[in-house]
Amino acid sequence: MMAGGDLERGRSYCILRGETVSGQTVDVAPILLTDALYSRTWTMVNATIDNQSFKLKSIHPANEEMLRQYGGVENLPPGARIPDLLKVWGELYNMRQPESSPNRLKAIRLDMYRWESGRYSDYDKFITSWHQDL
Amino acid sequence: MASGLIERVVPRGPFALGVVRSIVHGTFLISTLFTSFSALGSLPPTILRPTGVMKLLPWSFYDQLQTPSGILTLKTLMVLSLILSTIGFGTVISTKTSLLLVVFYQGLLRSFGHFNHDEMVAVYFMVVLAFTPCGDAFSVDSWMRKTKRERPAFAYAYPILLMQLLLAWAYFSSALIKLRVAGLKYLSADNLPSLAIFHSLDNLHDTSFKIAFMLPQVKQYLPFAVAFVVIWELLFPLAIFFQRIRWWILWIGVLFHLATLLVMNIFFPHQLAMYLIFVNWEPLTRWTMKMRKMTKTGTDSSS
Repeated sequence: MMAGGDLERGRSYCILRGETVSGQTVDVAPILLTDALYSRTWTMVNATIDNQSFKLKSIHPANEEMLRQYGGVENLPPGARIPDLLKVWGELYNMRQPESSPNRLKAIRLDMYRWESGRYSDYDKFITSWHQDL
Repeated sequence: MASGLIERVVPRGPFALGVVRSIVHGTFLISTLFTSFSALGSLPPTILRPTGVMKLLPWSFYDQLQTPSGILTLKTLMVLSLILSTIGFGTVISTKTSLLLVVFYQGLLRSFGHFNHDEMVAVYFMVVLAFTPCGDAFSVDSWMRKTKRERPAFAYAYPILLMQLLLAWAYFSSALIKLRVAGLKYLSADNLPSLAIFHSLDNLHDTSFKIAFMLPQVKQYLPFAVAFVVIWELLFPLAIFFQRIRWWILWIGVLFHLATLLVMNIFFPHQLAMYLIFVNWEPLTRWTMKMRKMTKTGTDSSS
């Protein structure tokens, strides 16, 4: 923010969505689920997509195990831990819905888009998506 | 001379410092009470990136902390300590335990996300309060004490001045960094619209206002608005020394933070609460004494 905005620079961003048991797709605001993080949520998601928790000097034993399976950080898919995060958010969302509610989620996904920039249009070029069944 | 200046620009009594302690610790108490720690505790420790001294703690500690019982323990300790420091009970100890717990909690949040500013000024205020006589008045400690503790006025005025300087520095340095990193490019017509639109595209921010998408239509006027904000940030320290313009500067600050919420979906509630440091709370002490006297007179005449 200190450097200001640059129209020429492309930027990626994410939208969290859920698929309800009644078949609807709804936007899910993570700030309502993990309110402690409020304005840090988007950077937590970006860091998780970038696998930054695998690039530390001392990494979590479970992440070490995952690295061994993949044979190194360079072989990890982007957002290797995003499904874990989606599972938590999905479960928190469903905990706030009655058992019989049609608004309960059967799946949750994080959609990534890119604003290629250079002009004030075409904000939503789809890039990829992470999906987690609940 | 320095103490004369301090006593001229900030309140001099222990009462004002006590009120400030209650406001700063009370702000964290309220935010702790209304935050879902159970939700925070359900986040996987595998996405943590411990920052600063948080790196010294072993992963087994975070595995224990990120559990329902672990995070409930943290919340309970924070609430208890913050209640004590807010009401001023065992102030010498409770202001320090609250500081430690809040710093740890802020470190945990920043280990998930990024190093943002909102609570930082309030954390600095807690550091100042932990090592100053902020329990000498407006506290349970002072109410229970039989003899009145007397210190030089400087001892109560200096911490308030220091906190005002810290808040002013947060804005002043923000303007300096903008100018140093981006230079005059910061005043380009596309700066604010592109930044604001980026912060309005996702649904991971504090709010989901879409006002940013209207900014490109008025972008030729926006460099003036941005320049105004940078000048306001540079002039913020004047709020300390000149009572007459103080409220103008603070009200512009309130409008600025409301605007960043509406335009960029970013809010600074803790920092806004810290504006109360500029209120002179000393007249309140005369009011409370008057009320106490009136109550006493009423009780005496009725008996």
